[in-house]
Amino acid sequence: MRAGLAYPNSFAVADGASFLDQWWGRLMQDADQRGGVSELRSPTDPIGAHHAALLRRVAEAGDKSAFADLYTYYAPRLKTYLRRLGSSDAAAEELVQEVMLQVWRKAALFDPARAAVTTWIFTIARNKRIDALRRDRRPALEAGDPPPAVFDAPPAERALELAYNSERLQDALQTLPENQATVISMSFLEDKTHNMIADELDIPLGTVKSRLRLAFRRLRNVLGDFA
Amino acid sequence: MNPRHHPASDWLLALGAGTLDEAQAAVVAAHAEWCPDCRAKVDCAEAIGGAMLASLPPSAMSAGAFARFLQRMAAADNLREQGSAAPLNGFAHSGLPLSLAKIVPHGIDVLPWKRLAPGVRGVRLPIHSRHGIQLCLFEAEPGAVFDSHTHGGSEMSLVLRGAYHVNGLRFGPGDSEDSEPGSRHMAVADPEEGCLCVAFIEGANRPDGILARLLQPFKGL
Repeated sequence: MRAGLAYPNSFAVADGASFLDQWWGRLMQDADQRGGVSELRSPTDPIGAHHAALLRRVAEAGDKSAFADLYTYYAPRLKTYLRRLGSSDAAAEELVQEVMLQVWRKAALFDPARAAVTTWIFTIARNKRIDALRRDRRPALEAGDPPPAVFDAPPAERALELAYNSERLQDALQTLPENQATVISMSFLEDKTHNMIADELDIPLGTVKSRLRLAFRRLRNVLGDFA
Repeated sequence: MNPRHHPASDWLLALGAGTLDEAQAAVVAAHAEWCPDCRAKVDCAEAIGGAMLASLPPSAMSAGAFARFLQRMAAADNLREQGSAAPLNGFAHSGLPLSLAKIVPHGIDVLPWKRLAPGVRGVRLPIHSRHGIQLCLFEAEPGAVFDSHTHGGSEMSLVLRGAYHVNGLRFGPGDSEDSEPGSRHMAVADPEEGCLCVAFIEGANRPDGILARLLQPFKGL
């Protein structure tokens, strides 16, 4: 069941604990050592607010020390994200540098009412990775090729919920049933189609899809989207 | 008018996650350009991605990474942007959703269309799918009957112009039809408008059907 998921193997597996419980437990342990548990646990997302304030200082004043704090937090996590998705160590670091350069250059475009900083940086990294994959396969890409499509702002009443609920989402991720947590994690962190996930887990495609839909609905409820 | 037939939410989740194959992403993103409800789901998927990023354990960057970064940052400093981002969604001059317009920047009239059946033509689009998934356009004249699916794997079609009818349902602009592997049916192009559709086809290896015939000449390219 856990083929391809790197983290559970690296620490003890408690009976009945979900993959994300273990992942989260490890994270809490790390945070504890940094003295940050109470902050991470707070429902008001002080880390997200702090990062938004740092990014505003970068945007308004070109504040390099504020940027250094963001780099220290995000670069190592982006590296893990890109390594999990199959980049080599060197390629992942190069992409991290490109992502963080874009964060520096486009800080003024970040709108805290639309998304959490971590979501904004996630989308930059996601798009950079996709661009790099295309570049590798299509070296003769035309210089004028349009950038990947992005969508304009979500309606204001929803945007606020998306922006301020990152912390609650992180909590919700850890309480997903294990079989849902597995497919969600594979969807984000492994470059596989749903058919390939079904093959790897040796379950029917329809089961992969229904688990994804159940988990997605549950996580959307956290964001106040009951559609 | 907003679309009435939507991709299942697992497709929208994977679009936001950034792990769809290029062919699949083109079709699902095209639908989302039409559909505010599905865009909202993609926004949620991105927020989940953000939460996941924040939850990942850090991997040490190599020694001197930040110093090297500062050098690049100094070189790029004059490129910092001001003001707000111009939204990119909406439709290109060609009338295609942007997710397709960037694949066929010169429009669809210059593509090497092939006749597939009476009143039906199709063309495979030039993308480099990571997983061998095909992206095709097909166009049917008013009233033309076509075998819309061959079904070796997952498929999804999206109406770009006009409409088609299948099993008493009408699929119009922006409507997507998500087909499970193994199903097969005949569709009829709208008697007034005909239709222009885009579809991705996973595992298009069945010897029968229009799409298989469309794909056949490209094998080995």
